Amino acid sequence: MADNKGASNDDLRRMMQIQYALFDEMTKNQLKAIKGIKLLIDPPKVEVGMTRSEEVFSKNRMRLLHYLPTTEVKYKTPLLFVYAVINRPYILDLQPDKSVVKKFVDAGFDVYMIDWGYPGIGDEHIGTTEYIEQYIGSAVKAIKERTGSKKISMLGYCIGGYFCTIYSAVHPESVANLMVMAAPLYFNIDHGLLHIWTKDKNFDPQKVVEVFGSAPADFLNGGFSMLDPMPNTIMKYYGLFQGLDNDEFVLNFLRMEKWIKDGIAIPGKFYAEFIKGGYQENQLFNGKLTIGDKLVNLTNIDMPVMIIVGASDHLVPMAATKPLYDRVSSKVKEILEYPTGHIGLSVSGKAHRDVWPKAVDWLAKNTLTQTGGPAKDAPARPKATRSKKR
Amino acid sequence: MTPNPKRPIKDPKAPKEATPPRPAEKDASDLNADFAKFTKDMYVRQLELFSQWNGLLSNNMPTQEESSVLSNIVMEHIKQSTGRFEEFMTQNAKPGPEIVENQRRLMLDFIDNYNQMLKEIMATGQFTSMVGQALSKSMEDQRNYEKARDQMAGQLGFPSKSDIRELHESIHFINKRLDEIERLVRKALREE
Repeated sequence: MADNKGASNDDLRRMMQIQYALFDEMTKNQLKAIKGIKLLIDPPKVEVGMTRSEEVFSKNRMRLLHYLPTTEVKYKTPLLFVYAVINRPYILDLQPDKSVVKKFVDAGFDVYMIDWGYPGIGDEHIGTTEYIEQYIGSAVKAIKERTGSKKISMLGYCIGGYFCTIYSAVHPESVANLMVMAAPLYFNIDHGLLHIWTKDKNFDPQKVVEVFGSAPADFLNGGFSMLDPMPNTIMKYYGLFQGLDNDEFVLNFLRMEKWIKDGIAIPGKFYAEFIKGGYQENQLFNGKLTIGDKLVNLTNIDMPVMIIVGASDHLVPMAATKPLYDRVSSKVKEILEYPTGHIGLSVSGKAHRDVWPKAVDWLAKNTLTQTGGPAKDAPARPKATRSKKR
Repeated sequence: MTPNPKRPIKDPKAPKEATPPRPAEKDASDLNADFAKFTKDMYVRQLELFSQWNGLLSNNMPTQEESSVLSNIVMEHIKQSTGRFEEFMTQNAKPGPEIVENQRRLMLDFIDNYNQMLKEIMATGQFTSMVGQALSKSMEDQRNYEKARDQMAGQLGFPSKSDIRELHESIHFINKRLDEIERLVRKALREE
């Protein structure tokens, strides 16, 4: 070492330092990558849906959850969240600081949520009519009986918004306020990959249903991740790599991953009806959708309506939700548009800062106007009821 | 020779003092020690790294067949998309030179364009038609397989998947009928 010719010891020492720094960086990155991969292969358990609730009614696999008040109930009209039949509803209550449910509970609303459970082989025959009349219908009835309220407010997310819109059109007498967020309602649009794929004449949903009896969760998730391929695949792991040292970020990432992987199958009958009657025939807006023997007429919707949309929603473009505004006969109606995506509406910190306080205020104001003031007594609380599981 | 009184006389029997190294030699010796430490440290960390990778991969390595299928898919994908990507980048390139700030930005730009290109491809009629046909064919194959499996199950005296589905269908309609009866009874009770 000391006999090197042409390079001084200082040069050698500097080279060694550079080499060591490079090696150090490389090692650190590799150890970080290993940590990230281990985290993905065997993720630690993360808690979701932390707002306290109790099951107050159930029908087959559907459960109706009632959130325990955290403050005095200020509004007489109960609020029912109806989530989509894809993935699980705890995305609306992912973690305390990003919980849409908690926002409403903390504001003094009496909040309920429909959890569809995990549909199985016996649920293939559940179609739109069954969802509206048998399931949502019985949940609304259970809430009315528990609270003594004649009407409820509804907040529907994604396909849950589709259900709430139909329910409100078929049973306007039961709905005090309708809020829909990122709901696929109007399908006659030529952008959005889901709209393009499902319109193709070669795509026959019935064939999927004939084989699987339902639309399997993996089949659906594969399609969803391709809607924005790089961010939904490689880039999210790149993001994880960048934020591995931030525990809060990692926990948030794991909660989202848990939710994404916690997919549920869509019952075959509804899947075929939704693709054919929705994406391919736009029946809801063409006035051709029937629930049982009733034709769904959107002009029957006369209660206050709030439409919440994400400007960069790849799954349900804004153009698939906004046309509801012009079709309802409500006097009080509002569109809340925000620059975020489909899931960002419920979990992004910015949406929780800018969107949900406005939505809570809107519902509070309308509820007070309708009921003539704040609730004096907390709503009656009969014992939890449970329908027989058949 | 008269001894110089200013210079101490060395006792020839006294033990020899260690000669202090010259500055250049000391530096060389430090460098050698630094290098040894550096090499050892790198070696230890490399071992640790290898052991971590080994632990990770030994439990999660794909089989040879899986690796082959996977690499074929990846290679085919790269082959198909390279030409298209080049075309896309050429068409969408901004005129004039632009200095790229750093590698990270270049990578993000590349991925952004790649993402856009994939979305454009997936929105074409050719792609949707191809996927629709492939799905249709795959479902037909799956159905034929299920038919054969059901037949075999029937021959062995086991209920087939379609038998179970039929049973569930009957239960579903009985449930619907019960709901209807319940509704009528409630209505009749209210009218009384």
